[in-house]
Amino acid sequence: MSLELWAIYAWTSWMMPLVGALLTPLLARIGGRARDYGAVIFSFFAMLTTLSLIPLLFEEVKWPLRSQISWVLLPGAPILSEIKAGVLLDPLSIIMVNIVSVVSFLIMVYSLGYMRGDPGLTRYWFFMNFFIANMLLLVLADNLILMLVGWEGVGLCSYALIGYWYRDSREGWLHYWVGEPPEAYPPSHCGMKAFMVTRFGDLFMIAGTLMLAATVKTVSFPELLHADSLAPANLKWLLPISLILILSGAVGKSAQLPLMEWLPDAMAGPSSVSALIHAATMVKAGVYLVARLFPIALSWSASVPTTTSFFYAVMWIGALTAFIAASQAVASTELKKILAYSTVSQIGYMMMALGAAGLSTEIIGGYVASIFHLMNHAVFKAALFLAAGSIIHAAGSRFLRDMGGLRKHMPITFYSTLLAAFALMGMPPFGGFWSKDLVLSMTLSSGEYAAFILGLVTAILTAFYSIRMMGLVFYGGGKSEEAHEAPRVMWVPYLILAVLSLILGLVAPLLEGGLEKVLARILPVHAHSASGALGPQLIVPLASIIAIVIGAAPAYALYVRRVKGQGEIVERRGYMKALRTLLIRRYYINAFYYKAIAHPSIRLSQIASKVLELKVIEGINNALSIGARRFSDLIRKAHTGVLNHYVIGLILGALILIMLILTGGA
Amino acid sequence: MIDASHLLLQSLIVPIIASAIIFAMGKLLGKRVGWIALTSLAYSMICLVVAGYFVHRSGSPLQASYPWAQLLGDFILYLDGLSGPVALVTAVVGLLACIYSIAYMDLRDGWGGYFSLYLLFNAGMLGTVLSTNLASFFLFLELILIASWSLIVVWGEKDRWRAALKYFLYTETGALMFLVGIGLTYSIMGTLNILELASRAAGLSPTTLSLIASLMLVGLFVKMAIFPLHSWLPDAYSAAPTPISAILPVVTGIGGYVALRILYIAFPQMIGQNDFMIALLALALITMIYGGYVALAQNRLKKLLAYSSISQMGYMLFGVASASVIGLAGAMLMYVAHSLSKAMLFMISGMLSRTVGTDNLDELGGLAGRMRTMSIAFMIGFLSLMGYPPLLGFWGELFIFAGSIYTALHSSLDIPRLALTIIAIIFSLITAGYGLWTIRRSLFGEESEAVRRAQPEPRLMLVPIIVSAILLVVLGIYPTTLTILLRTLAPLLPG
Repeated sequence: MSLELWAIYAWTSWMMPLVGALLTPLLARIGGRARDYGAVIFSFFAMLTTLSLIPLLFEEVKWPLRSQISWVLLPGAPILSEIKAGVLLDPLSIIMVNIVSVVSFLIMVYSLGYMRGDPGLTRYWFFMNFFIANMLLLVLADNLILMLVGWEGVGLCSYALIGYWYRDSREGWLHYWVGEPPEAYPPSHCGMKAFMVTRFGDLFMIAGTLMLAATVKTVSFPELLHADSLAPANLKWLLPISLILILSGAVGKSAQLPLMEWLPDAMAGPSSVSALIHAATMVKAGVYLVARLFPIALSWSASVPTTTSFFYAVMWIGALTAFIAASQAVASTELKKILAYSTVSQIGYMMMALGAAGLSTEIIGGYVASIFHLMNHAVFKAALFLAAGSIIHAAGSRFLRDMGGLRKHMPITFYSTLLAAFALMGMPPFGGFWSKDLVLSMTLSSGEYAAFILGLVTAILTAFYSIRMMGLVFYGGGKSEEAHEAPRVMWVPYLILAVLSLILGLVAPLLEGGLEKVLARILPVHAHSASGALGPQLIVPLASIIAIVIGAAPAYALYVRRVKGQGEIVERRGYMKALRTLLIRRYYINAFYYKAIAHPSIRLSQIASKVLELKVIEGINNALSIGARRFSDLIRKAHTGVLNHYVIGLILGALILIMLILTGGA
Repeated sequence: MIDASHLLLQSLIVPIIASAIIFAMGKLLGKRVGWIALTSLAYSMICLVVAGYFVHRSGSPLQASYPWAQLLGDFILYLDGLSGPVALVTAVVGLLACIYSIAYMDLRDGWGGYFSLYLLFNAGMLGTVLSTNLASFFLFLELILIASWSLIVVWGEKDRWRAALKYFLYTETGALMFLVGIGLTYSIMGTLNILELASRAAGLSPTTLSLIASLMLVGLFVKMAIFPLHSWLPDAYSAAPTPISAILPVVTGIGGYVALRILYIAFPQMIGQNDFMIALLALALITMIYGGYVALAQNRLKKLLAYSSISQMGYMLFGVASASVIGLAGAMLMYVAHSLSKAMLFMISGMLSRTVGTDNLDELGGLAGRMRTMSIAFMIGFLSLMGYPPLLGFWGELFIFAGSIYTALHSSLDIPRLALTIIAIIFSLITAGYGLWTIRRSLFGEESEAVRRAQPEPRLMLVPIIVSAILLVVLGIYPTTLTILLRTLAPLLPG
């Protein structure tokens, strides 16, 4: 067993891109090409190191593997007296780092073409590599505090890259802004919004982490597994509450209800950023965190039964988000926003599967479903976003109304998007089919029928909006005749990803079995082949195929064959119009947050500043000084400057001191 | 083997001697006085670094006593896990602001007076941090006040007289209350040595103890600008010459440091009085939130930073009130982080006033494209303020809250404390709010008219800014550098 080697791989995997990021400004001095290729090479090294970890999965290893160094010391402290920096390798983290590093590398290659000629490239490469480093750190961290460092690091990169075009120029708003007026936002606004919303969730996560640290005296994942016995009996009820507080961080990062509103606006960043951060990797951090906490919560639920509330919370947040986000995608007017809503919705699936797994006897099945779906989604959604980057570039606008008929001009992009969209819809035999099927059947077998129905309706909506997107972009009258195919450095990455989404489907039965086998080893249950009742096993695939047909058929007729004007159907019916407005305005949740939280906070600050600070407190000050002057007039019978009070005070003070010293000394 | 204990005295005396030299020969030396001041501060800092290393090596605090007035007891300088990092950072910021001063004074007159007062100011701060005799403590506090007041009045910006007077009256009132507390302490316990107070206070009734501690704390609250005693701070900060604005947060933080000393070292019995500590916690929370909200409404960068300091002092008081050694460590880190980041941000605001001609956020915009180094430092400063890892501010906030949560949970469940702490954690979003909004208004967007006409940054002004930014990052990545000395803290600390 190459015990030393794995530790080296694990540490270098996240340090590589970090070094790459730090070297970027230096390489930029040599020249543009050195900087660009240098950045890509470091992400390539990161990929190599993580790939080298894969053979571990096939060996008989006693998971988890840990390698730690001492980091933050707080001598004498009863908790957190030593926080270690450590990497934790188990099948979950190994699978996750590989998803991250492979997708990252392909997107870095794509960036070579996509971002060519941009004036801020040094900043771009810095933050991309810095992001990869932090993402890998987040995944590999063996305790919550170190994870938090990576967690906030990726948040910072997300902020910086959403607001990449920080000039917010109004001329380029078709390109660089996001949203339809009145909800059109410039990039720097969107970056700040993403930061604030995710940070809001993170603060709950910090509170939860500290509560765990105070009750069970540890924050490291392997030790938390059986930490319920360490908690004092009168505090055991706090354990599930801490977990749910930590879950808030995941909800923010993964853009789940009620903290989902930042992600659609995060589309103001470059498409490569949307693909990497806001589809394939960072937004999955929440799912990863829940998956990390999953065995812990499961093991605690034996002694603290209320821990199941954690799983209920995860499942229902996931199910509701999946449905609501998918419905918004149906009416979206922007290409990238469809994909953003879709991402939110698909992450909802992953959450739902994890929650359901905790509630059913098919624990391992639901767990595998979630991770497998995460893997598939990372691949096909990255492909879709990268292709969208080419499409928006070709069409010169991010709005669907400015696109159409691009199939002829951009055949490779068309076929790549088609493959990825099929995977997104869950069309057999694509990867998405298998994982979504597993998600749904595991939800069904947990006995949560309402969540299952929501999942099924989401599948219908997913099929609808995927075909609608294909139709609006690639079919119909050409609006941009001079559009042309993207350069090879751009289409190769997304073609690879699109084909990969098909391959993942072809090997899915094998892969599912393998995942089940390796992931079972980190769960506190024994693996068993998914041999549930035969009923759901047949019903669910059938139901999901029917759902695809129900969703896809009308979309095909309307947007691809265009048998009827799409507008007519909506315009003629009042309730359809209202529904469309409701969906475009995001159920008014976004508007509500602005009206109920953002704007009142600013108003409150104005009141605090103008009324409380300037009127009340300054008023008291003035009253005091006037009073003091009157008092001094009274004593001195003479009008003197206020400075004299100080002299009086000083003498008085000295007198008191002397008196006290004398009485004390006597 | 050199006797390390005299290093502490040297770190104090050398700037004072230099100050006298500059004062006497200021005319003769001309513009060289800045560099003399810088050298003496550098020497003082090196003394402290070496002394800190000795403390680390030996694992026990460094103490140097000198006979003084018979009545008042010995003059004692003391370096341990708490005063060590605080003194060191005080010296570092003093040094950085001195570099900045040289650039700042380039266009102004009165070099001799400025640097001689500046050195006294720094000596006052170091003396306060290192003293364990309450009398010398008080004298150094007064030295800080007099020196900073003079600096504000002579070299300050507009409205300086009014602001300086307010500053003086407020902090002097606080100092007098503190003095009354000192007097009571002496008359009841018969000693002014902080290290001896804990054992002498053991037999006292809680009421007496509370009275003394409250008097001292309220006095310190003025210095820390805790709500509602804060109103001197925004005026003084914004009227002071920029290098002094950069140091004033350190002075304010020293108030918090003294509060830690008083509560944890002198009167550890107070830590056990839960109602008292909860009251402090609530006061801290109000200050955090109030300062943050008022900062959000400011248009002038300097004013915004000033209100942000009030809010940050609320955090520090929160650590004081956490009733735990974790919170104490947090408050200490908070002091370091706040001093470095606020000093840097004030230097930046001063630099903008010079190069762009304004620090009004409405007239800034698009600076990111023009002043890269400054923009990076600016972001690091605000990120550290909002407690973002791996910057130093993160550890400060984390441990402050961890300490309070630990206290709330460890012996019996303290629901009010737990609730207040969770509210405090959530409301720390305000810092992110005003931080990001400031960043957005100044760095992003189209370049404003004023920014387009901006002059290049003076190199010398950038140096301290870059150094502070690097320190925030490096100390944040490895905060053990600062916390390791905590093991030398008196063992009588509560958990």
